[in-house]
Amino acid sequence: MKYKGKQILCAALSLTLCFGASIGAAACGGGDTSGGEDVTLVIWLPQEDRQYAEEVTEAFQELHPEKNYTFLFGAQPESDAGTAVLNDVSNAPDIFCCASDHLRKLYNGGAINRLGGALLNRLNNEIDADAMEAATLDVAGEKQTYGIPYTYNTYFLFYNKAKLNEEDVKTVDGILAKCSETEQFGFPINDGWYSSAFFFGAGVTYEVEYDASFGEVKIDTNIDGADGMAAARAMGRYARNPGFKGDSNDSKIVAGFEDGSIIAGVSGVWNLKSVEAILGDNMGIAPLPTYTFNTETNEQKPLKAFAGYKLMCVCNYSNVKTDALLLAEYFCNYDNQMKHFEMRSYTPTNKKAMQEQKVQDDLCCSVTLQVMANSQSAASVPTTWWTPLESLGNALVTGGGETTAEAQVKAAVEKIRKGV
Amino acid sequence: MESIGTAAAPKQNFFARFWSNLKFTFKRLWERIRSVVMAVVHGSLATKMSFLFMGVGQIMRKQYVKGILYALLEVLFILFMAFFGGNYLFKFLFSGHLGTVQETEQVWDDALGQYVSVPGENSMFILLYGVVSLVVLVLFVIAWGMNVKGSVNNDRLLAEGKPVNTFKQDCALYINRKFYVTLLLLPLIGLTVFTVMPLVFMILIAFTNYDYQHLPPSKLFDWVGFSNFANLFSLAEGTGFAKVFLLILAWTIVWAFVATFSNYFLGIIVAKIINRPRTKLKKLWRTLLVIPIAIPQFITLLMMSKILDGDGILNKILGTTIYWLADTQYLSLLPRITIILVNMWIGIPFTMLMTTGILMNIPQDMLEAAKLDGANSWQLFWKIEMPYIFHVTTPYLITQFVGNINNFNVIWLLTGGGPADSIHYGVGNSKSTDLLVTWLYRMTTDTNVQYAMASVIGIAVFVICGLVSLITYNRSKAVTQEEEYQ
Repeated sequence: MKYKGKQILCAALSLTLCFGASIGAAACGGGDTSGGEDVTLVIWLPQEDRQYAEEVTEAFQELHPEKNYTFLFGAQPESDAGTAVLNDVSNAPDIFCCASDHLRKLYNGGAINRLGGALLNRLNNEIDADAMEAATLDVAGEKQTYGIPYTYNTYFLFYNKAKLNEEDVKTVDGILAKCSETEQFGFPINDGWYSSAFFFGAGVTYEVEYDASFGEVKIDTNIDGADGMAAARAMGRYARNPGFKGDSNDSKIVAGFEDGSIIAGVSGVWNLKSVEAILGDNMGIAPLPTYTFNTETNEQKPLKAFAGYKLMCVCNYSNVKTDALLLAEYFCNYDNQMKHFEMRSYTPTNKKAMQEQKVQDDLCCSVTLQVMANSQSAASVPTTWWTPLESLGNALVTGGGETTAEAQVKAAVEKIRKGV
Repeated sequence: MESIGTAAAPKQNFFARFWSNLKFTFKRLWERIRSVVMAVVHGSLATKMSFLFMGVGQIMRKQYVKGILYALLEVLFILFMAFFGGNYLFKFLFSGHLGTVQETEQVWDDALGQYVSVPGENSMFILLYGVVSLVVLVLFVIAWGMNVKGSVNNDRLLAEGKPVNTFKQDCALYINRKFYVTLLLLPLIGLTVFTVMPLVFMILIAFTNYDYQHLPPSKLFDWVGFSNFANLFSLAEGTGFAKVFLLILAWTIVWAFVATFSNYFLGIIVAKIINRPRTKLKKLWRTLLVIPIAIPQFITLLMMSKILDGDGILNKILGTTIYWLADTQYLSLLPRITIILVNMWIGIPFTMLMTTGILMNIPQDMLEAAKLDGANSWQLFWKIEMPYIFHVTTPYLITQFVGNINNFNVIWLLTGGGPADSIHYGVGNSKSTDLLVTWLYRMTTDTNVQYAMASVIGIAVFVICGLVSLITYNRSKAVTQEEEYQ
């Protein structure tokens, strides 16, 4: 009898072993929805937009009483959404927000639904032509639109009015003149998205040739030319200035404004509300300053920002594409762009909304549009661009000067170029 | 595991033993197959029927339940292959491609008022279900073999004038004499389904061009043979992985070596110091050192990365701006050293705890005898304690070394593989403190995913870890002189 007990124990143990192995694979599922009355829409947008999205979707449900919508929100910043969608295209959300520079990759992965027909005509009528252009790809000579642009994606200068005046913030040297080790100017020089502004301002360009499936066949750049080198030297010079904080990412800039260690910083509209909450009326915003390109002649060049758009895209594998397209259009219409503007200060792309007095008077919107007017389109930036510039920035942040900057650019150009 | 080779030739090295074991296994398998085939050829009608249709032979011998179960199995197998697996298995094994029909371009559908595309084949499913179907096929062949063998056994029993087993007797057999089979069946199924199949699938990806330009379901990927492996050792500008791979491999080995042995020796020293008779508050010291273990590792690591940041507390206290984890000067020397130091802080307590136990277990008479012979404490340590500890802990050292080669946590949570410097990156976007595993991870989550190359690197890591463990373990005294301490 005792023997039997042991057998049962053994069997139970081996069962547990087996279950232990199966638990890992048990997590799955996913809501499949059919057409008809009940429709579930999965939407990915940044966490900060949650409140806004809930209000919009509630209104959307009221507009369409014939259907019973369930909205599921996923928090995903626009900058990562493209990559996350491509990681599992077949289970991607129905609607997602992404940066326009991901468009080629998303097209290549078959993730995004092409827009056409009456919808596209309406969008072309209502939305700024430049913005629509950024959501459009040139596929074998044919213009194809894949997303709805709803705001601009760029950055500008935040500053503390108590410490700096409008004249100071026109040049980097003007800002740095008022900065010190304890009151710094935050510029994320170790992030290619920001540091490229020095190079583009100096006239550096890149050129990418794509094959039929938008694979990069040839990448060329003149970043190691005389202009690029001069820009790099300027970066090296600034990085050595004790008032210059080169590793100030988004959260460090907000924290710096909070404890007063930063009096000016470069960031985007996504940080506007947090900085406003800290500085209140003392918050100033301005277009990017100019920098001293040549110390001997004191020649100034502008910082020329990367600029793109934020797009709302519909997944090509959505089983409720019709509803998803309706909702995406609704999200980007005049009313909701105005709502987005009021809730989060996002500059609208809707032509009518852009003409509104409220928008025209808004400082953030006018600064955004000024930056956009003199910017580098992020549409076809080479994928090899980012890490070399990150490396350059790292070297400068950790004590490199002008010579380091030059050496880094020479190393970077080898990694950026391809097939030349 | 039967180790016939070991018994026959104890002096052989590992590979020779492995080879002879392999040869022996195949020889035995072949003999079994041959004997069964011969038995079928010379066997009764029932056996021949079982050879053709599973279960028929058993039913002819009045083993109805068993026969019906076998027949049912065959029917299920045929249904599975006809409606699901066969298609995938054929494409997987014989078509030479992982699908040929690609999803179409999006075309305007007037009725729906939207662009639609016609789905094509999904290379991922063909590969995945191909592997699954192959495993099902192998399992079926084994079941079929059992069925034939059972019939042959029945023949033998009848020839000897004995009755064939009833179903009840068969069942009784599996909870008595063959109870081990019953016990091992479930874990075996678990291992096959959750370990072997995914592993085979992952390894096969290394032989395809699965990357950001060939993402299913919209694009197909296909077999590319060994070209990914060639790419790993290629120096071609822009695409060759060799330079970056060797750089990262070198750092991985250096890291694993330093991290393992620094923890090991410093842990022993700390244990020795605490074990000294003169040390006071022994328990307090031990507890203080063990606290990092009590907190989940990822929390301590994230906290450390904040503390060591350029704006972190450490710099605030010291009044400096040293980028402990982001300085790229001198091949990112500072981040590398910082990582090793943080790892020591986490790792030393483990070795300390273990060696404390071992030190307490050293037979006191040995130490006393040595003391009587005039050995000083240094000699006691080097000649008696250290060999003893080393002997006991060699397997631990090996697992630590392999564990450190794959130490994703420490690197990823402290630096994320960064900082980016000018020597690395290029292909696969590697950074300066990347280990092979963190690099692999970045390749599968980065903007330009490269699953196939990641799989190749995974295989490389496996080969390296496998070789290191097998060679060192088999040469260690714990194995070669196992009996000395027993």
